[in-house]
Amino acid sequence: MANADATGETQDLPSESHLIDVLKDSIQEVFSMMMSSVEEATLHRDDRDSVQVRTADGQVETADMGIEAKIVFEGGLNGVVVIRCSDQGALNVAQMLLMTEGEDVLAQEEIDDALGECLNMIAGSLKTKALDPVDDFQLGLPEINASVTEQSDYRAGSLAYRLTDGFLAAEIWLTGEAG
Amino acid sequence: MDKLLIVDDSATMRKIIMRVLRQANLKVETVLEAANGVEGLEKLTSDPDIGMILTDVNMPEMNGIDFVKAVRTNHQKEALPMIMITTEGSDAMIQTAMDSGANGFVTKPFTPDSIQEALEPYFG
Repeated sequence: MANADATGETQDLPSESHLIDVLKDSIQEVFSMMMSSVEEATLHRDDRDSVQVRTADGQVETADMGIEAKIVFEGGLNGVVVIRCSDQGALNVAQMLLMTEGEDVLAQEEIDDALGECLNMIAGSLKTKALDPVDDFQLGLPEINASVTEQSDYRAGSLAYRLTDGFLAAEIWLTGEAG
Repeated sequence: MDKLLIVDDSATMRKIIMRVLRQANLKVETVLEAANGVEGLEKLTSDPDIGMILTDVNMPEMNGIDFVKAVRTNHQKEALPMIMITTEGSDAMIQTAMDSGANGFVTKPFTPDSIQEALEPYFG
């Protein structure tokens, strides 16, 4: 797909594989700078509410992904960036961002807000690196547990990570026909 | 610094910034918070001796760009240091932020060093 920039020159919109590669870089950047490193895993099976993940050591684990955050992007390409977490994974993300101890109790509102901010940083990094160079894009605000598919036609790709405690899956959904 | 205002719709990010201010040894007597530009203007109206503002860009009600413009014009705070802290780090966004009247720009995710570097010149 191509798009004209301000000079009239054609800029190619990012491919789905490039978007996923940049999403991977963005996740590593956010986690390494603001939290702690994450271990990349492989999605073995994805039923949306439940996933099977193969970790780096070859173990297959099942997790209920109870919390989902999404953020919409619009421009030459329209879609959604989504992160899904097990309940423990979402709590882990919040604890890392807020630097609270394991025994500290966090309200669900605090966990949801932390997950939303985590996604905000990931999507912002993706936008800066992969979308802004080719067109004028707008990023929405993070939404927690709102439907993903009503605004998108297909999933362009997904990634999975093992956190210190729990799991996180990240994906990009796009509107239109699969490339 | 006596008073600093953080404007960000994420309570998490406001807490992170406050923690980083402490880590960077940037001493602030009172930190005020607002969840969007409208609340930020209300804080500035009720507390006109705020010494610095840190603001996000992408917020509901009133975004950071419009907030900075409103502070500069409606509140006539031409000299008040305002730093944007945002995920949107493109050259175009940085230019828009500076054109609106911001003094500096920090991209999220950030390290304590990048916050210190951006803010330290404004601390006595």
